[in-house]
Amino acid sequence: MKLHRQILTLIKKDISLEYKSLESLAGIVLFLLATVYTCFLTFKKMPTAEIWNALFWIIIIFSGFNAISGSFKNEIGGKHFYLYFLVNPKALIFAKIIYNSTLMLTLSIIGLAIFALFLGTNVLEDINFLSFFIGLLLTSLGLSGILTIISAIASQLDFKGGIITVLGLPLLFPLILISQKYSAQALAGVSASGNMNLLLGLLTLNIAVITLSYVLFPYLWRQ
Amino acid sequence: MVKNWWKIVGAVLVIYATAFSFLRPLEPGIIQTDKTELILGQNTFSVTGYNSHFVDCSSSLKGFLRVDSVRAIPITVLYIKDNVHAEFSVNIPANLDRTVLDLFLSNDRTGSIFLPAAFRVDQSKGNPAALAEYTNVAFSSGEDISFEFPFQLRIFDTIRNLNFHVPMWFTMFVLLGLSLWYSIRYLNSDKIEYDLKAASSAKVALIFCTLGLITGSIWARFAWGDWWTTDAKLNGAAVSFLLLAAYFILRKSAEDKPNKAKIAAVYNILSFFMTMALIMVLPRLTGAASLHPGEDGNPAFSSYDLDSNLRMVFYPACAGWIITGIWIYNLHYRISNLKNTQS
Repeated sequence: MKLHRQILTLIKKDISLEYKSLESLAGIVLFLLATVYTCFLTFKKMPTAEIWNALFWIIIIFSGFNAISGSFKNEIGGKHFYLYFLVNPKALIFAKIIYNSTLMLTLSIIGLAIFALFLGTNVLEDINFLSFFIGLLLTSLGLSGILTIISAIASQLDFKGGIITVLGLPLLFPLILISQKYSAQALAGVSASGNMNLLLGLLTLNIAVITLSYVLFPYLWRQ
Repeated sequence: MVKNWWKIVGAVLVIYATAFSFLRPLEPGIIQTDKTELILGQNTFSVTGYNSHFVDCSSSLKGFLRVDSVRAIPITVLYIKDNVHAEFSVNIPANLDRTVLDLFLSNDRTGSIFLPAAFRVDQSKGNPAALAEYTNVAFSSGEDISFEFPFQLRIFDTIRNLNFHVPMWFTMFVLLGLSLWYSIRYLNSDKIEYDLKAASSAKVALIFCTLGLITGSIWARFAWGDWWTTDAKLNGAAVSFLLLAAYFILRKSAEDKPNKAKIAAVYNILSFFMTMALIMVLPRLTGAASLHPGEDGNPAFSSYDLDSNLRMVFYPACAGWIITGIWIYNLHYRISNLKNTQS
């Protein structure tokens, strides 16, 4: 099979697996609801744009960990060998990154809605939505690029307690720093073209992350 | 002996740099004055100097307040308390066209020392003397001391830390680069010795990273008032520490896995590039403010305070610590190689 056909088939497989066990997706959305509600309870008044932005990204990172950490749970043991003989590892990592970033993007949009519901919309009054959305898209891509390869590493360690956060969080620092700055600008109403520097930074970081995953993943896959 | 010449060079350089950093005095300078505002007419003020030898060369002690590049107001010595404390008096004329004055002192031992923008003159107060008396600005050179550290306001003696703090980071970067190189070679060759080399150099890099954090933290407390500040370089330091520590947690938890070395190598390469992204790219992108010299409009050490005296210690210190780091790495690798072949 050609690479892109393999990628499509693998994405379809992941979607149907997710559909069969919707409770895991529902669990992540519930996690989002619960954390945002905790913020709502602990903040006596509506947070400022700065705090809103920081909270938003912290919560998105941790839902990302919840959503993506298990992405190689189905590929251990016998299934690993089955897939190993069947598909190109490069197709597998691309399929996982595409699937996970779509998942991440959906989750962050749901997260945005939940934030607007509980933490008020006054922060969002000047928002440049297109610019904010581009930021979300690129961050989802980068986040899932890093977390996918980290979860591949963690799957080889049988997901020993907490290892994925220890390995993954420091790697996310550059991405989160840029996207946090970018989205703060977007919240203040700066358009994407007015924020070209940060946008290019995000883009470069994404390209670097995906290239690294693409080069390094086959070594992890070949046991 | 001949084979190990580089170890001897490294040890000699480190001993030389350490000895010089601790033993040589700082250049003389002026730390502060008891008042920062002068009024017209007669004023007295006391000066706190640093290595300034007021008593030792009391006969030649003189000074002036600089108005501009030509004119100066003379000051007279009233009383010398000890080598670093003295009182002076000055007569500020009425028709002064500048309000900020620099304080200059000199004697035969120290030469000219000065405190920039030492005084402001409040023209509305005081009893102006009838006649303005100006002299010319004149500099004098003191005794020729073979080696002195430059005197810097606010950091004073901690400038010696430059010879320890900065080489720690340089050594860490060299060892990180070595670790990356061996991780890549391991992935391409599957030879276990490369994995051991990558792990050893990363471990020594972690030690130097910790030392760099400790020396930096102490310095930051003195110069900036806090143990930890928001600074682009500190982000990089923190993330390299976390990633190196995570690398060893990864190695420990993968101990019984057949492909432990491969996982570790992949993570090492990934973390190296992320650290570089954080240190090299981010400060330029986000415009994160840095308090470090040479960043963000702060003058670099090389521009005015890394003078030729300091260079004579700083460069050998860097070379010496890098060689020592590689030496420790070499020893560590040989021990872990022995352990590996025994088991």
